[in-house]
Amino acid sequence: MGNLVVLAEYLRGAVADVTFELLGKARELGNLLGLSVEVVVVSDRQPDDVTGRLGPADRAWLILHPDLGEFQPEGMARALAAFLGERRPRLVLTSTTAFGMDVAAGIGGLLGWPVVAYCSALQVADRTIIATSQVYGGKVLVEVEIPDEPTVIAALPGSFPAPVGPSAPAAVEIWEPAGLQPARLRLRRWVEPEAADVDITRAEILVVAGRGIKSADNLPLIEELARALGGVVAASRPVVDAGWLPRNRQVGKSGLTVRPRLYLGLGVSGAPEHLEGMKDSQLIVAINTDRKAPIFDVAHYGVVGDIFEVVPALIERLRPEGH
Amino acid sequence: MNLVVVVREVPDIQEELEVAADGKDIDRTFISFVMNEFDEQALEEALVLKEEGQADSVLVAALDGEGVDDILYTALAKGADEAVKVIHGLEPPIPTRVRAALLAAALKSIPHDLIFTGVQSAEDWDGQLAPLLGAALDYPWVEVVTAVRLEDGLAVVEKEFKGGLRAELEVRLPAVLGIQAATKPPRYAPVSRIRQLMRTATLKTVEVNEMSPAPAAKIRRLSRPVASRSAEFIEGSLDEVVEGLLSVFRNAGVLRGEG
Ligand SMILES: Cc1cc2nc3c(=O)[nH]c(=O)nc-3n(C[C@H](O)[C@H](O)[C@H](O)COP(=O)(O)OP(=O)(O)OC[C@H]3O[C@@H](n4cnc5c(N)ncnc54)[C@H](O)[C@@H]3O)c2cc1C
Repeated sequence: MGNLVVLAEYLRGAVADVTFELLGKARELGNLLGLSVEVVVVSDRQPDDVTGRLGPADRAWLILHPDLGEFQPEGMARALAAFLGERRPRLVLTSTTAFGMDVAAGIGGLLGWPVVAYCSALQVADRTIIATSQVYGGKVLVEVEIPDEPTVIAALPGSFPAPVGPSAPAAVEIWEPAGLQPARLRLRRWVEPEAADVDITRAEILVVAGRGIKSADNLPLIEELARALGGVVAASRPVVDAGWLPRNRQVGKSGLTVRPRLYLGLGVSGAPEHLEGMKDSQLIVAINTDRKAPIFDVAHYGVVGDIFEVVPALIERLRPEGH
Repeated sequence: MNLVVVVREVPDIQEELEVAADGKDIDRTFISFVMNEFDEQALEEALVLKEEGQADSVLVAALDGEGVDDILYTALAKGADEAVKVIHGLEPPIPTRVRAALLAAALKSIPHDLIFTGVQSAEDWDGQLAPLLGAALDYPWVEVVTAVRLEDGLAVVEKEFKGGLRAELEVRLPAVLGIQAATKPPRYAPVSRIRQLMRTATLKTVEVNEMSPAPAAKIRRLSRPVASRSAEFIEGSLDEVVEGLLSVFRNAGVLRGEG
């Protein structure tokens, strides 16, 4: 049965950290299953500096095509599908990043191979590979048995915390796709994130507003608590999407990764996409009305309660003249 | 320019979800279903494009299932021109790849230039719909889209990366877009309007035949996550809770200027 193939996330001249997490996991599984580990990069030129550092794979592949220089998700998925279809690996490993979300299910769809998305754990029991997927906003885990056919895994970034560092793979080879469909998609430009008024990645204390704050009218309350604690206000994605706070305050997968001394979550459920950006905070405290909210699975301390009761009382108690 | 928005029902994750007795699915008996929140974003983006005159019509389509009529009438109340229910005869949960195959078959009889759907759903552990549908239809696809503009024969979209970085991509039509967020928050549909439409409007139906089973990983069991660390809950009266929080902050050395 085939090998373990890691799809390197190579964007704008850099390889994403998650690629090394996947390589670390692939190495571990490879040793258990006696399979070799390969890594694939897609590019329009020979990025010697990159392929040469994608260790510790047994073999690195460069898929080379003039149309695949710029980010080109569909073309990349098609080129990768052509390559993988020939080789039929045991597992294809990618992640649920912006890159992986286009490519993983795309390859699965093109080749008719099963896909396991949001994968947070991969184990081997009696030579059967078992994958765990985190769904329903992180409230339920689905454990699945990988069938005896090539399967695409899209892992949640941060799930395999034993990344391997860059090193030289044993061998580097080039593969050129023949007869790739003409591109139906083209990158026009990159739009850089707006400059931040506050850098939430540097704040020691973050008071994080979730959808549980219900309306923009309640933001002053949250801001008052942040002031009283000497911290700054950050938010989950829905709060930012609603336009209540600017994008640069967003914690999580598509926002920023934070590791403050105190993360205080107010009405944040703790969806996997949010946890991805804050689970390594030094102290996590959460207030939520739902005892089963997944935020409590990573919190050090929790209060099952209504923020509209607890927050005003906390502010009151923190006022200098309060006592 | 005809836009089709593919929507689906998902269990309301704000409610208690229990694992079914056989451990292979969630218990679907007493839960309520809502429109996938990212499909709501997709619908909003499509409606905005129509209102701006960039598109001519918005049709919503959904596979039949519990709660689907409500979702489709709600979409009509929000401003969709037509609603189509795809009849298929399968029992839930329907794997995403099967969904893609059923929808691809149904779309043969639905005129469309561009297909919108949500970037992901609460139960698509077997892969997201947009790429699977794109692959099934042989259309290009883009996931994690946060802005759409239409130019002749092209959609110009922003795809979002971590930290607010975006790629502006141009995509030849027809195509499938997995929408993360609309340009503005989804609108509400007045309940009275939904009720009225339930009496007056009709949902069109398209029937598709059962698809051969998709290759899939076999479910062993569902479970509640085991906390990586179990939170210590601070309990008691409001005063006790507040004092408890303050002592946690104090012990961590993050409390300053306490009165
Ligand atoms: C590709 C992708 C990227 C994403 N990136 C991010 C990201 O970067 N960051 C991010 O945050 N999300 C991200 N998301 C969205 C994510 O899936 C969740 O939808 C989001 O994190 C939920 O935000 P929330 O916890 O504020 O809201 P909800 O999940 O709606 O939770 C609200 C919580 O508030 C609680 N609550 C309600 N009222 C009260 C009250 N009075 N007192 C106390 N608690 C109350 C409820 O019990 C609930 O737990 C992304 C999604 C996708 C698909």
